[in-house]
Amino acid sequence: MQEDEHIDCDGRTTGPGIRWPDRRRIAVMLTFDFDAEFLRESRARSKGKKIGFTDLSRGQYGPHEGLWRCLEMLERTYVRGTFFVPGIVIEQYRDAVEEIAKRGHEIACHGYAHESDVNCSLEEERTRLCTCEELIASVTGKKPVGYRGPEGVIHPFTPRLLSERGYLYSSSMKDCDWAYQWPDLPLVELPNDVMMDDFTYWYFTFSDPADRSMYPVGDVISDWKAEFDGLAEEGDKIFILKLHPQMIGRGSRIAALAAFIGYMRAHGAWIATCEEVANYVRSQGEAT
Amino acid sequence: MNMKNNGHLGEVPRWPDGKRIAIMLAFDLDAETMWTTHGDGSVGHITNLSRGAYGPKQGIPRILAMLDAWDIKATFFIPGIVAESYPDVVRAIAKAGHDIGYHGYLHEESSTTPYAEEDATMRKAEKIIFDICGKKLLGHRAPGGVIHDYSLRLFLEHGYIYSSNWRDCDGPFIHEIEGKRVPLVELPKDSVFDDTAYDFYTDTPPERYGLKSPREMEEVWKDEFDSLAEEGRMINFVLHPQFMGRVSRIAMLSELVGYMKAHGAWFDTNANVAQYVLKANGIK
Repeated sequence: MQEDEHIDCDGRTTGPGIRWPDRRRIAVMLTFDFDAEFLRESRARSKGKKIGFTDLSRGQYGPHEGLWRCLEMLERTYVRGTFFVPGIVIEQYRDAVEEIAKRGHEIACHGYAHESDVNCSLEEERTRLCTCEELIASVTGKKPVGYRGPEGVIHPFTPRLLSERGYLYSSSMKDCDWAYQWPDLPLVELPNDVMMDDFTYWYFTFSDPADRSMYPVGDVISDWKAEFDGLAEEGDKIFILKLHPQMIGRGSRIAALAAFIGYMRAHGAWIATCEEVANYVRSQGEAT
Repeated sequence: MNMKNNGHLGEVPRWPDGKRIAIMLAFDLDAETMWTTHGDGSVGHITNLSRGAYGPKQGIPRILAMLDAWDIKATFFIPGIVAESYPDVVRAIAKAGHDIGYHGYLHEESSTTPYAEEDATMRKAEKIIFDICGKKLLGHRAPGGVIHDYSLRLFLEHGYIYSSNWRDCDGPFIHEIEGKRVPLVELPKDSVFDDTAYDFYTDTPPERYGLKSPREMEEVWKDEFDSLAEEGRMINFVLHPQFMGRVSRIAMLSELVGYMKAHGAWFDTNANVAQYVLKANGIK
């Protein structure tokens, strides 16, 4: 569409027209929600269910096996990722989280016990953030600058709360493929979608009546590639892969992901952490 | 009301210019109402609601650009409240010459709505859209597919010339009231041509899993197109900008349009196809 035909529906879009550094065509972020068993526990809880040993053990595939493959692969492909880590995971798997930080990846906030309660109050959320920020700082030496709601759940008051606490970005919304600045807040939103979330394809459980299937990794990568190609063509978009070490961390999937990283690099991707992209977006906003 | 199509299957007209099949690209611009009418309504769940906003905010510009590139006129069914929230989008759709049809005010799906209430809701939504873009609504696709025993009468009273609600045949057919043909064309639809059957994934109850790839959708639609074109029929799509508006889906749809154009498809709006069918049947 012509520039003057841009449909700016809600007045909070700062994304259209952004140009990425070094003439790159798209900003790509590899994000890992390192939830371990608490993803499964909290999801079951939100559906009035409990998990048993099999789901507990499926969740622990993340810290016990998947995470290490993720880290090795990131090392080999020279990618720095963003890890969204619930506070309780830092308590339970401190060595693993310290290793993530040591390798230069970003660690961002993701709730304490992966709480996805839609009715949570402002006070509860503030207290929880406070606890989690201290836990993250105890590993990295600094407060996190990014937040993603567990199961993507944030509340109408969350953006302002994050902003007041000095956060640079949020990555929970699903309303567009642009990075944008929240209205009247110095907070960048980095939206994502269920299509680029490994949970959609590989979350498997018998703990609730969910009828889910396993997708061949080639099919998933092919869908991501179609989406990546189109967004890169548009030139002002972001592409966030939302991955979970307990799902993407299988040998076959990590191998396919590494090859996909190579593909994206060869086709104009700027692969960076969420913090780097959010800083860039903010600097562009200030420049105009 | 007689819910049968009264055996008018035989009235399928020959399409203009020797075309083999009528194709209507029709988009239900439900936006957030997809989520306010799903499960507990996503109250306070701003990220679910934001999935709805993807339609007008990100999907529509891509869809309009694709339609423009192919020089195709399409149909957009827009709930009144969505028009109120995104008036610029409604104006852009109207300005590009597309048809706009009725789709509720709040995407109401109640099956027990009395006549007077439904009548008032329709007037309200019609006025909202007319005030924004000057377009008169000419047809009806019910939110959630729910219609009432008085609906046909109401459509006629509102000056509609088409309905896109029946699923009992590949259409089109002329409706009857009390055994008498009325100037109202049915342009049926089905879930097979509805992207929610492939793309509506959510882990919020009632959960919907099994996200399909654009390649799978294209294969299903192409096979169905080939056989319906052979029979000289029609397809009325049910596409949601929040799902079909993703760049990978638009790329697929554009390829499919190219295939259909090369194989004898007549692309037009629901209103124009309805008018053609009325004329071909000597009505009005």
